[in-house]
Amino acid sequence: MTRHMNMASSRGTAEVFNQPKKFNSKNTPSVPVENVPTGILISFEPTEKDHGQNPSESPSFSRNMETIVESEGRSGEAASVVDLNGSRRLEAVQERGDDNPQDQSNSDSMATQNDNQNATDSFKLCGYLDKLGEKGIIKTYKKRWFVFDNQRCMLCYYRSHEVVVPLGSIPIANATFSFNPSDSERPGNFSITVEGRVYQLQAKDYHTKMYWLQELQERRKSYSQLRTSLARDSTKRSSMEPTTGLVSTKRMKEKGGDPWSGLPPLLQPVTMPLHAVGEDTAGSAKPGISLSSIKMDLKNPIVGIKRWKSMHHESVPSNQTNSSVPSQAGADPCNVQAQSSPPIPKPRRKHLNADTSFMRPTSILQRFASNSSENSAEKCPKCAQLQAQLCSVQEELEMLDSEAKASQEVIQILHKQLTEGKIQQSTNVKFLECKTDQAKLTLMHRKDKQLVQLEQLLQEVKHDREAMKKELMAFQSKVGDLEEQISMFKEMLVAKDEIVMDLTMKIGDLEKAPPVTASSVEETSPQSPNSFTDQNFLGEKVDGFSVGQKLPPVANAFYLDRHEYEKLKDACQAFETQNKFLNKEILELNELRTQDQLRENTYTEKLDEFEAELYKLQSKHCLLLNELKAPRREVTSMEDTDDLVSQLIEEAIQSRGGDVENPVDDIPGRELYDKYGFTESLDDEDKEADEPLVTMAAEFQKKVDEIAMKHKSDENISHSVKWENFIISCRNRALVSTPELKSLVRSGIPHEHRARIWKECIERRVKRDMEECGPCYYEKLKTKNHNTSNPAVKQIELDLLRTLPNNRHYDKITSPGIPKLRNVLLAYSVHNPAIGYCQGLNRLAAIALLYLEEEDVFWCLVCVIEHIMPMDYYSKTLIGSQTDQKVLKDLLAEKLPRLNAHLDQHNIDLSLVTFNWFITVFCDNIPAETMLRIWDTFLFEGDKVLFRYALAFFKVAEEKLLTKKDYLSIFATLRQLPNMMKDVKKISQIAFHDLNPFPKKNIMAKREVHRKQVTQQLEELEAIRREFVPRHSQDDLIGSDDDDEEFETLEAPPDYP
Amino acid sequence: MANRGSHKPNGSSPMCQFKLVLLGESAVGKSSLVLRFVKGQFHEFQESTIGAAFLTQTVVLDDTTLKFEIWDTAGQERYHSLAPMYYRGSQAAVVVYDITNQDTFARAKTWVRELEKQGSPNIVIALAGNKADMANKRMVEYEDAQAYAEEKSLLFMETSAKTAMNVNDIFLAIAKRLPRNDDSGNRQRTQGQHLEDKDRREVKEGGCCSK
Repeated sequence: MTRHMNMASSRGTAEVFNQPKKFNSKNTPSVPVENVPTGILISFEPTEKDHGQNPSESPSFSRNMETIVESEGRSGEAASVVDLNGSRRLEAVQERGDDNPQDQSNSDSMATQNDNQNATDSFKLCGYLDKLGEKGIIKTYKKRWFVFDNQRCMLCYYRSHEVVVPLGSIPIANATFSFNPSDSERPGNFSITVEGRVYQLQAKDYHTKMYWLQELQERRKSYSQLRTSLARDSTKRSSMEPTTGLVSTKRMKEKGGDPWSGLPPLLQPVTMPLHAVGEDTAGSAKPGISLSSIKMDLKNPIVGIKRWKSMHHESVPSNQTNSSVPSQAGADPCNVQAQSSPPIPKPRRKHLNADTSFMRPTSILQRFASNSSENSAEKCPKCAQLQAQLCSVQEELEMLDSEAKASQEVIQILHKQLTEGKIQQSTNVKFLECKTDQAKLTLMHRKDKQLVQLEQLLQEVKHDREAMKKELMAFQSKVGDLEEQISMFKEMLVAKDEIVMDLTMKIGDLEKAPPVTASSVEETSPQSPNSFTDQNFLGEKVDGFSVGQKLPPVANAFYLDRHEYEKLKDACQAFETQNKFLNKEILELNELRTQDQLRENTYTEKLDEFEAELYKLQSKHCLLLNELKAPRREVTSMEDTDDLVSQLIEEAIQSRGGDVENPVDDIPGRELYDKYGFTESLDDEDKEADEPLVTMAAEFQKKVDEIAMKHKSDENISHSVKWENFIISCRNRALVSTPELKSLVRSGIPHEHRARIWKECIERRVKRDMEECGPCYYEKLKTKNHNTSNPAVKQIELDLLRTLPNNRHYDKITSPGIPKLRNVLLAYSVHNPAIGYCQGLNRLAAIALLYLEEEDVFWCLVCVIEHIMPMDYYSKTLIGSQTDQKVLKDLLAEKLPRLNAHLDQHNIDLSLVTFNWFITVFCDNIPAETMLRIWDTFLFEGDKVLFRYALAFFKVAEEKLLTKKDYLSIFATLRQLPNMMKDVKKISQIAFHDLNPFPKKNIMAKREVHRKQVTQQLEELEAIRREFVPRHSQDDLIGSDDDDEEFETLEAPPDYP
Repeated sequence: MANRGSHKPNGSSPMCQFKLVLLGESAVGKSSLVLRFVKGQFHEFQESTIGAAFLTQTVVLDDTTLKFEIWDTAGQERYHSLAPMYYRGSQAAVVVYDITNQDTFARAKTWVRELEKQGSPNIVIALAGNKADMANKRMVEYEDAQAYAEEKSLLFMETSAKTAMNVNDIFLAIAKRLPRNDDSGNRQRTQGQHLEDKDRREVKEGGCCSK
């Protein structure tokens, strides 16, 4: 596998030669040439097409380079260049490093299997993957943040983990997965096919890819199981729960037996690659193709070139060939930076002097160039011109090269002659120097001896040569042997390709077949044996290959690299893995089909039931219509009609009762409460007032709307996924108020995240108070209660059970919410004696306690009373709240002038209705869903949303109110207003869009004006009361605390005691 | 609250309308009395009223249909600054105290005084000693309250929203005391005739449930 992966980096074909040689894009083996200079030539051709089609032919650039790096002993430097580049793309050396953990993890996989299984239960499947773009002419891989949405079984992708709005999503429920092992260049490549659409994705490495595939399969399976179980039992729901607050429930995980455990484990489970998948990767990984990373890509070649330049000038300053290259290479990236369509030369060559570290930047440059050359070749006519020029220059260069070679040979010959001459000369000189014959003789002898020695040497060398030749022969035979193997491998590859094609087609067929018809399942089942046969067939091929090894050598090809063999072996392995994977995929798909069928049967049954019901109803409807027409003529049939009508009414009421009963039967005692703990308010006044049939008709209409809504919302990107992603992106960070978050909050905080977001919203506002008060402030306040007699204590105690009697957390004295509510309210009354306890605060605390812990709820009160709301909202005079009612009245006149005039005409004072909304933040019989949505925005944005929602309520009810023409019926409608506020989406839309603009300045200005008026009125009232209160207070046993403090915010008149 | 006339919609409505306000200390049972009177229901723990609650009930008395427009106010001291908004323009008021709590009776007296000063000139005030079912915990003697009511010429009854004791009676007693306006009275009597049966049934139903 290692080898296989190394191949991946050779994007452009690259060769390393030891002598200048004309470039050849095909993988002709490099022929060694004698007279080896130390220079290395690297040539590239970015012909991706050739490469992709026949990967087995691609030269293994990375391996060659590796070899060189090692042989030069400079691998460290090479690696440092990689670090310096920090490129997103997989680089040869880096990739080599990646192999190790994989091997390691493979060996560990058995050991960690169980842990892994546990991890997948709670683990959120997310991470960065590269996705092949689908738009535009040039399709490139772009880095995307992928998050799996468990609820809808979709893979959503985002520009980055920080972005809230997904770019798109891939439905996994009916998807099939595959990968192409022959695309050795991208080991992390895999594809997801959904309804004819193919998504090409690329994981960081092979291991990560396998992990993703495994997880996706797993999740697809469990989703299918879930759907089947849901089809059987439509009342079962899976919802997430917050972990804090009263609404949290401990989830009991039912671990039933896995019905699919019978499947043979074709593939060993892959462990989770920590560095590539999971929430942690969000922080570490940077979004891929963002602008900054493009800059990085552009910078890298320049850095490389600079490096190269400097090194080159130091080592070989006077090299003719070199001097032209750097300028050319240096110019390219500059152009690239200046304009996105750079003129790129065709095959370029670089002369390099034993500096392997240079190769890194070059390769990057080359890749970059190869990318952009594809881009520019089509567009720029100037490029073509330049390329032509370059070609001619290249030819010249080649001519010069050959000339240089010729002159080198001449020089060598001359050099040899020169040496000969020199030796002759020296011998002659010595000979002449010798005076005596004796001396000459000795010299001769010496020379003779030398001659003999040389001859002997020559002989030895000859022997050596013979031996070498024999060795060569042996090698040749070996090479032939290998050659044979290669051809076998190639054959096998073709066969495998066919098998893969076959399998892919089968999968395609499976996909195309109608998902849940009986026939399709029958069709699919015989197909899995087929696939097994294919596997067997493959096995035979492998066997056949091993036989091929023993074949006699055919020695017609030389220098066949042993690596080639390894490479093919790797490819074989890869294919085997793919085959296994595809087999597993087929089995899984088969199971999915079975599940689908099961589901379909259930649905069909239900559909039949419903259809029968419908026809029954229709027939009755027709009969009734007929009767309604008839009685005008025949008096006798009136009784029949009445019977029919009463029967229908009875049936209608029964069927409604049946609807309600079903869920209760399934989960006894649970469905009486909603997830917030509220009972369904059955004592609605209007239900009694209206005809029961009319109410029911309205309810049915509501259900119709709900179903229509459900289908609509399925089309949109899931709101909850947006939240999931947001929560991941700011896991360890404080909440930052961004427009994105604002709109998210406005669209509602999901139940399971509400606790966290509320808490952060509160803490953001009360941070300073918390710091000032110290760490155990709340605990201290709680103990203080016992010592001091607080006038608020009595009132709090009276109100505890009267806070939310329709919520099961507060409906009994033993309910869990009651002591908490008491603690919080008492603590606040001690914390802020000026306010003490105001009715209404109990509701605020109770709602907050649904989600937050006691202490946080205390801070929530601090936050609402002292930070969000204006002054004196809950004080002894309630001036703030009263003022806001006047402000609301003004705003109503601005935003809804028609309604305002109507109300004025009938002397309706809206503040009688709206006062409660403001002081309890809409915790006043408003449907819980709506009320909590208002709370979301209220805690996040502040008090302005109160006006927004109040006006939105009136806007929703405007038409209905306008039809009411007298005081009482208008008030009756106003009293029913909360029940009309169930469509949260619509109300929010009105509150935050239709009512705009909604400037805060306007509200502030109005508040100021009205506050003065309200204060004055209160002063007058107080003056009147003063006349009898003091006189009365003598025999009044009411604690005088309240009375004394009542008007503390007003100027105390001098005669006030 | 705007100063609304007592018989404002009399042109269109065949009935007499009266505005009635409930006042009294917190948790004496104002909302429960109203709920009992209007719907014949009783909840042990009635949600505490914040601001005010609004309900209507129709009674038929001597061929006259009377529609009560009831404003149930919040009891807590600090909400009293809102009270004038509700009792302004009221023809009737029920001041409620809790017979098991002396403080609430004192507070009721304060309310009566305030109504005398601030309320409509001919306002009919009824004093209701609620929670009469809890006589064993009695703190306010019937005679004391009776004496006080006589002194102030108030309607007085001890009531129990829980057992429905005297609940309808006190409202009917108020209805009897309410002045019928000359200008609208005659017309309503003739027009309101057909409503009588239905409306009487309504009240009866409420009474049945309550007992």
